[in-house]
Amino acid sequence: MFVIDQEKTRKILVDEYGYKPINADLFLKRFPPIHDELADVVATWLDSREIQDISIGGLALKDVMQIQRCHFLIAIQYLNRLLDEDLSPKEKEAHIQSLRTPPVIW
Amino acid sequence: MDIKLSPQQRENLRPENWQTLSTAERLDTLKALETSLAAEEGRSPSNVVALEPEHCRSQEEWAHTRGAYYPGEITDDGIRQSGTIAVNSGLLEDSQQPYMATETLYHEARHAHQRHIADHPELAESSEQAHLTEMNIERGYLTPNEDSYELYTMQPVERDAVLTARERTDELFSDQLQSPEGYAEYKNLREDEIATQEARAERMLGPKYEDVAKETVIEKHNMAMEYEQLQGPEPDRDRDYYHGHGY
Repeated sequence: MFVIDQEKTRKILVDEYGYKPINADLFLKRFPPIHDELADVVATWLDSREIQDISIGGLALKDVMQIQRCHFLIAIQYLNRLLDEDLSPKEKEAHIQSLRTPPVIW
Repeated sequence: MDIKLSPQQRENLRPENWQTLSTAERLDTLKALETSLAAEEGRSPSNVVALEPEHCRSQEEWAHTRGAYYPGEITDDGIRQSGTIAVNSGLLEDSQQPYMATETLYHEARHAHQRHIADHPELAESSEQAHLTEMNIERGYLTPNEDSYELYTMQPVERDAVLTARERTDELFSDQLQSPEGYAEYKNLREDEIATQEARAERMLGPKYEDVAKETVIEKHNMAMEYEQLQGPEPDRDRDYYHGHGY
């Protein structure tokens, strides 16, 4: 498992994504360890903000970001969840389906 | 809650009559609904307007934003001005059915009620409810872009707005208007949508997703309080609290 560099990520969230420092801290507190399959993608992003093409369960990272209207680190958490062993195949399928559906806000 | 609409206003909410109304007349019907609801709740009615694409950051965002609530500013004499409820113009232009536009009005009106409770905690059902509402909307509001969609949907004020709006919509159309054409299908669709959101939240936050969201709200609020005690109030604190835009 890959553990994100909290200090480096915090700086990116605050300086480049406009997070208030406390919101960045709160976000990082909940950020899970990342499965090895996604480690290189996250490491590359941390270094250069480059978003590499990767798909998990047929779901592309860039598609998740676009459909869910979310940033890289939120999309990574969604794909990371698909790699967790505690989700049944049925739950994984439901997760993929929900990530293919644009979220409604109000 | 028995909302006091005039017979004509109530009839306007039947699909066969909704279809004959102009967009402006449909908006007037929702304004009447908000005026009645506000009177029942003892608060000033919010302005009700159409949410147009130019109010959102993109066409895509507008297409998936059903509504928004903007609390009014507090004037120098300490009185809060009326807030604004915005209902997606696409829902008002939907000539087939009034259901989603009505449920959106109820959802955003609940946020107006929550703002009123936070300003007047003595009116809350309990001091705990008043305190949690105040913490959630003052400093602890969770946004889909910075926190996550699951935390956003399951935080107390959003959960309360979703469930209250569903209950009131059902009361109006199932009980008072006796299930007009298409309402049963709409109700199934909404119940499926809520169940899907709950399942999504459970996958990402665990089975106690509501508790997780509530704890995150409290933590965010407390961290902001500590920060303010050290640094002074943040000038743009209210920026987080505009429902429906969350971005």
